[in-house]
Amino acid sequence: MKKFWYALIAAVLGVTAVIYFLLQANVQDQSLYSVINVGVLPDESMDQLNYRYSPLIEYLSQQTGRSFELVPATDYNHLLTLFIEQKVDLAYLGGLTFLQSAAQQNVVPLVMRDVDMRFTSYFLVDQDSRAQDLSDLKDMPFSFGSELSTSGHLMPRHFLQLNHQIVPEDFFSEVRYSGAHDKTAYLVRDGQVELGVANSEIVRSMLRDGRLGEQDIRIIWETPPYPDYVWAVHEHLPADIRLQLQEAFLQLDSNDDQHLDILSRMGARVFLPAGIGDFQSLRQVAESLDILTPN
Amino acid sequence: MSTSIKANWARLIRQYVLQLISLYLILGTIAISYNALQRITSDQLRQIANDYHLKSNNHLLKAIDEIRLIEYQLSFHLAESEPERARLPESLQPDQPLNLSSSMYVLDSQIEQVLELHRQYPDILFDGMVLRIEQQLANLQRAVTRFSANPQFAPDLIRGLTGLHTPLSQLERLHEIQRDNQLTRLSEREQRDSLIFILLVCIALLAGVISTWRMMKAINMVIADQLQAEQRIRVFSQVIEQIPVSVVLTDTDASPIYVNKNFESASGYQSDEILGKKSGLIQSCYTPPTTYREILETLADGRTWKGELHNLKKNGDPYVEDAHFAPVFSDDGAIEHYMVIKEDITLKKMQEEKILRQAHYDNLTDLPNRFLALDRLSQHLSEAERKQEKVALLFLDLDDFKKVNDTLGHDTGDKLLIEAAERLIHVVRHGDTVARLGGDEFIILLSGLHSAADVLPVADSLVEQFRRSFSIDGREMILTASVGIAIYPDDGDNASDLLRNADSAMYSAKEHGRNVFSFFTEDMNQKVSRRLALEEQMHGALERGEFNIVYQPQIDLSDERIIGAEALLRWDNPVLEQVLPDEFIPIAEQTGLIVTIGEYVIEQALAQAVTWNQLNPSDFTIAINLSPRQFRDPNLVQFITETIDRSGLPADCLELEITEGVLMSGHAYIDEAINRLSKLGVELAMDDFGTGYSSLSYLQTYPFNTLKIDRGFVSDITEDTADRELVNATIAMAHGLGLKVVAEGVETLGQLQHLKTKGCEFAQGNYFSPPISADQLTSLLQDQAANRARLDR
Repeated sequence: MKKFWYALIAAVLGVTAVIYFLLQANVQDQSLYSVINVGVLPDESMDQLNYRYSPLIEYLSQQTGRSFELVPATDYNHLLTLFIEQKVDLAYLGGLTFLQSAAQQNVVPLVMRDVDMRFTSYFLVDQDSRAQDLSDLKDMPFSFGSELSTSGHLMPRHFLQLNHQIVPEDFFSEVRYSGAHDKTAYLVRDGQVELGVANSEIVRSMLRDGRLGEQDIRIIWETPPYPDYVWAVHEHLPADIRLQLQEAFLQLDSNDDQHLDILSRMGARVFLPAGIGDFQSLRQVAESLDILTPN
Repeated sequence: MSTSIKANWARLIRQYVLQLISLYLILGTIAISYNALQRITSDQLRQIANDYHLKSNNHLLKAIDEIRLIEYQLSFHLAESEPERARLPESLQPDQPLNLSSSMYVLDSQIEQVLELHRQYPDILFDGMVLRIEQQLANLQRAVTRFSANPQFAPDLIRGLTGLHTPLSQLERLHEIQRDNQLTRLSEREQRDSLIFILLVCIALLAGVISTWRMMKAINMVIADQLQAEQRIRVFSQVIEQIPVSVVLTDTDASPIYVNKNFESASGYQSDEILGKKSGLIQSCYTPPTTYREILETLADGRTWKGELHNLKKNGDPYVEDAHFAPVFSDDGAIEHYMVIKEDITLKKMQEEKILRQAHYDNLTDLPNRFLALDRLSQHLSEAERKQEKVALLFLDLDDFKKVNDTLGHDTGDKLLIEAAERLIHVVRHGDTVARLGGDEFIILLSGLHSAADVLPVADSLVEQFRRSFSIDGREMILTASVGIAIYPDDGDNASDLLRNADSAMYSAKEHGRNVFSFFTEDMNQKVSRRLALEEQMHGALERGEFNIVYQPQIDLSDERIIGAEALLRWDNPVLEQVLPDEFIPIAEQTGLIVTIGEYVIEQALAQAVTWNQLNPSDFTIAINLSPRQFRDPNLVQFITETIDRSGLPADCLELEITEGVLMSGHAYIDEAINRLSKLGVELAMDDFGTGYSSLSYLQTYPFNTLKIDRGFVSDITEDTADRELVNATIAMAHGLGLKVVAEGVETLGQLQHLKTKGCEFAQGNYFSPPISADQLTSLLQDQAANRARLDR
């Protein structure tokens, strides 16, 4: 009889403890964030990344009064790892990468660019290519971008399946992963693959700044829009810092010349608050394609 | 089910029900309280989600729409003043023309609502944006004012509009996001709640399962124990069924719940006739209610009761049981049942009674035996001492009973004893005792007497009983009794003295004749002691030479010549001095010493006779008395024959005097002895004729030569007519039968002359000579011979 009572009390205590911990708001780490580490997706070369993000970082530093540092990542996986290990506090993640990090722990999406709401990917062929339609490219070599890329792999694959009923491994003779959007474009231009798919924004910026010429490539198909890219922070990041960052981003005004420079380098007109709900559809796609597994 | 097993069950069930209930109570409380708490928070969240975010967004969207509208209207408005307007198709024209004031009003109000909501639900997350909205609104208003004043400020207006548009969109987005988060959190909460709920349910189920499992185990154990107990019960039941005593198990109301087979057969009642019946323990009124109550009280007190119960079987037969009652305790010490173990001891009791009876009562006559008699005697004595009364002890001996047994057989003798016992019982009073001591001896105890004389009527009637003849097996016989009486405290103050004295009295009675009673007196006591002394001294007296023989001359009356002598035994003992033959002869007879003494006498007398024969040539006859006891000796005739041969005396010089007592026994060996002696030539004389039974047939049956008239008759010849006639008749009869007559105890001349006249041949007595020694007789004979010689010359 006694044993039973002990067991019961233990169980009750255990249950209470469990409930308590479930209810418990995460204790905020009181560690100092004097330096905020920022990580961005290596979907372009390092130089390009620096060009794009340095003004932003400087601006953020000004706004928050803290020093920021851009942490280089070798690839998407690396960035993910850094973020998970909290070696990066603020990260610019692609949709899929964000979902993967969210799967591992709590990440808080902060802001998105306006363009991030309606992202697309371009299917590129060489200008000389005779293909008019994706179906013409059967048994041809094909390249995705990075395997973890939303715009370079996930969504294109999804839309190939959805709109064209194409399973790349079955349809194309070869399926490659270039690892970056600009690399994909170069592969197509140089004829190494007949077809490639890349982030439309990056393609546009490449066209804008001359890395790609109008005669190099032709856009054979544009995917329907989907959400992609988000600036995210750890849940462990103190709320006041998070708020500061959020405000800083949101305050970026196109009307302001300085802001305009920052915004245009990032290809945005304005930042909007981002919520996890924005990526619901993305999550569903990722789960259906069985990609949402942490590496 | 015993109380302990019931208690066990109850305890177990209580335990587990309690556990389950408490568990569910606790878990339920936790769940409910948690649920309540969460519900409150959820509701709050939901409310916020709906009230705040949703509403805010409504307003924000309306504001954004308004801004778009303004932009659209403005573009048209601006185009109006420019030729590009012509390029715009009709369908794209706004419905309304630009109305800044009303639009501003709408904007204002919507934004105001948003701000109001923000004030209601302060949230730091929105502060920045709200601030900017306010700022931008102010900017816009200024731009509107400026534009209204001067259309040149259109770019300002446009900038102002976009400047407001951005934070509104941002805020709208944020609200949307927050609302999403809230709802997500809500659903997460709900999930969590349901998870917790499931957890609690699982715990409860688990606990329930564990409890149940443990309970099952415990139940199994209890059942196993119970089965084992039942098995043991079965085994013991069998044992109880088999044991050869009755076993009854009852509840505390003494109502039987179980009886074994032996009980059924012992009592005659089947179990279903007894079970459930109160007082089924006792089936008869033989057991008093007090005993029954006592038994129940003892049992209720937790003690055992042992004792004998008298019951009736179903068929009415009584039987006795040795019963052992005991209470049966339950495990917790309460008395649950009573049990009885009973052994039928009817047979044993009967045997005990029989043994007791046999120990105390005579088998044949059903009279108390010696043991009981003595016991009663001591009781009577102590009572008499207390009450100052007297007790009489009567020893009754049947005379010559042995003769009856020998002649008529033991069966007849037994019947005689039974009849005698009957008669004796009739004589005594209720409180008195008639007992058979053994053989033909009876003892009667009379108590509560006031004087010795009170005994007389009883003694009389006792003796009277024997005056009537006994009729046994068609025979009539007369039995007589001798009664000796001793009185307490006169003749002794203890049982053994009284017994001895009564015995002595009885012997005295015997000696006095038949059918008499005799009181014990002191000289009887002395007599007995004397007798004992004589007995004692007699043993070895012969060896010590204390015996000597004297001879009384027998005279031939025709010539007054000594022709023979009777040998008479004398005993001179240093302690006792001269003991008369009347005293010591009977003792010699009783002890059997007479045989050796007799042989001595025969030897001595014969030896003397031989010498005297030589003196008196006319065949001196020596007369020797033979007693009945001597005849019992099988060597008697042989001895006499040898002695005669050895002595050389002619057989007819020996005369054997035999009394009637010898002949009365009727034993065959006496007849044979007498005949052999007669054949030898020895002469036979009947001694003491006329004193006893004097059966004349004896004279006929046996070859007597001589008849001796007893001195009693002779002494009165001259005075008593009767005696004289008797003597005359005796002489005549004897002569008629061809017998010689010897008269004993002649003391006077007159007697002598009479006897001579009547023809009596011989005589002896003091007139002639008393018994004298051998030497004296020798000298007499010598004198006689000398005289004869003289006369002859």
